[in-house]
Amino acid sequence: MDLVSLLTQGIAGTFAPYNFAVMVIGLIVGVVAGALPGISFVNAMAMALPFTYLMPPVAAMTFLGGIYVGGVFGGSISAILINIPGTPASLPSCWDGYPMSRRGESGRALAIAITASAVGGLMSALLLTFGAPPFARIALTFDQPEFFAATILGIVSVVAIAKEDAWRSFLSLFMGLAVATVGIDPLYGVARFSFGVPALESGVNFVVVMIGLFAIGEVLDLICQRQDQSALGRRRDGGRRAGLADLWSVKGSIARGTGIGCMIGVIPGAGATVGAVIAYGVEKQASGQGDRFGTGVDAGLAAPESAKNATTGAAMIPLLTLGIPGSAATAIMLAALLIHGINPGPLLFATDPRLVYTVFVSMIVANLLMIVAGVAVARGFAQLMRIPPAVLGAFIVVLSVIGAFGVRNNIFDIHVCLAFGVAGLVMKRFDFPSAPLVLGVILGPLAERYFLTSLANHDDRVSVFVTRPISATILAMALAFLAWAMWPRMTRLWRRAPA
Amino acid sequence: MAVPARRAAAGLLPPLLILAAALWLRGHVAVDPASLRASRGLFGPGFWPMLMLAGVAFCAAGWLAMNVVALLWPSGRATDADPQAPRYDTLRAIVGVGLALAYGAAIPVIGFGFATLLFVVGWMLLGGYRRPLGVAAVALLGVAGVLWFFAGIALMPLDLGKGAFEGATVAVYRLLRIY
Repeated sequence: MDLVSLLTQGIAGTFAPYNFAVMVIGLIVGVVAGALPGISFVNAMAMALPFTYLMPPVAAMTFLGGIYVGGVFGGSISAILINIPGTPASLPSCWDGYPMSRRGESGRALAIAITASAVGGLMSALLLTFGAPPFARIALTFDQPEFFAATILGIVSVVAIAKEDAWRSFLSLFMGLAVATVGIDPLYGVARFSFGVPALESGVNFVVVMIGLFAIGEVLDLICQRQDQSALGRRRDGGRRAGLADLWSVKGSIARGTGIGCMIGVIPGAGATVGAVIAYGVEKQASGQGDRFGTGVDAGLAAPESAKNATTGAAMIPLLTLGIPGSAATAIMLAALLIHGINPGPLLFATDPRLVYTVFVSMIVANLLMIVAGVAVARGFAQLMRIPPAVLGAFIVVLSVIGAFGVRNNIFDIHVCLAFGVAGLVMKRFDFPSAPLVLGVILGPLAERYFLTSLANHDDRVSVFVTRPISATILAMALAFLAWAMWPRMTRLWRRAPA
Repeated sequence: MAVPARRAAAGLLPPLLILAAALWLRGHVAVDPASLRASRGLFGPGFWPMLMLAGVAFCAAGWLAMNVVALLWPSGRATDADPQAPRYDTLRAIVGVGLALAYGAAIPVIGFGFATLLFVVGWMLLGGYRRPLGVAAVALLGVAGVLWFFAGIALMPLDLGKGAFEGATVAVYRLLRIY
């Protein structure tokens, strides 16, 4: 069957009333879940999975695909408006999106974010449609050392966050990496840093750390300011709106972010967070306005936004062609397929092309509809800004506590979250960067697991990371990125040094 | 060259404390240090945390060295305070932190609902919201909404509290048609 007829089948499948309706519902659920701190789109997909038992396989996949696409964007709404990333991948959106909101440009920031996300997601869905088989062949060659190298690339991108003081940024990163080692180790089952406290053996969850540092830390910081709590009020949108010229001016950032997102997304295990952080780092160097990053720069928001949504379609390439879920979200989609007795893999393209091409087309349509869903939910969310700051602050803390509790239904997580909230206040007060710490907590467990399993599979040979061509190439890219990012600082120091 | 004691303390104390903490933690990775030995090969369960602590110590030492250099040989750049920067109210900070920590401690004892009610009232008062009717209405309606959504709709097992508070929370849940 030729491509045109396959696509026609996909279009017919996507626009079948039932499939289309569940996709729209999925999109709305995803955007709302993504926007609520602590309730990620992965939680929403997991909660929605039992409902797919009752659906035909095609509808189940369009439903979950809708939640996935909407959820990856949804996290940016709260990141931009209240500095709380709804999902880990939205973390870089806080760095430039939130300062724009504080300037009263939340509408403009959201317009840039929605546009960038939609373009990134759309390009990724097109890549999924037309480039799945060749990409799958490359992904098949990836093993643990390559996953480790990809994670290191994500970790190294912390230099992008570092402004002037790289020492403190790397210190914050290593502190996050150390916090991530609390609990039972992934290979031997030994409890680390538990001090005999049973609750610590289950580890420190990154969502809890993220909510504590960003949500509670921010609210505590605002309550301490002697200006009648007007800081939250300043976020009311009184600034200029995004025009077509604004959106056009970030086309290069969107293109770079999309490219990076597509490349990272296809690597199983890397995911939207790594893609968004790397895109931010690359954009900081490539945009030529790196010294202004973190103050509310359009390019600093557009690049990670496009990158994280560009991972959505790309992440489905290894899922559909190889049956390898590259992330928690695609693992849930794999579960949905298996529940319906469908085994993803190269054969699926021959045995059930209607399903495959309906998924492809529904991903394209979902990314277009995401603009409408995103605007609607963002408008509703923006109404929050009218609430008096003292009331809003109180309920942000309450929702954060519920979000932390909801991760594992564990009261200990509430205490950890509040402790990190206090730490967030102290870090902010002393101008100590907190974002690298969060990045370390997110990527630390992945890096350790890939490192140890790589060595366990290769007779403890550390050289395995540099003797395998793809792993060595990714590590070389990390090194080059580090040098590229540090070069301006080095030259500045060199010029400042006495002759 | 005289360096003001307060400036020196602010520059040197944080990296010194982190450095000391990292060195201390190296001896406390596991309750039983023998469990950290690798059962095979070089890389046991203690390798990665030790490596990360070494990274913490190295970066803290680097930060300390930079601060020492900055204190001994100031660059001469103006470091005037930003007039736009918000002024901090230390007392409010202490009360805010205390309130948040007390909220976390109270949840398992008096239950999520009552702890949240007290926290919301306390936070609004701390934030300068003084209208009694407004405070009561926002706190009661807000907490009822939160309980209805998360305990009733999302079926989250929020803490009920202990003793008499458990019974009172169940009564509130019945009133809200959650049970």
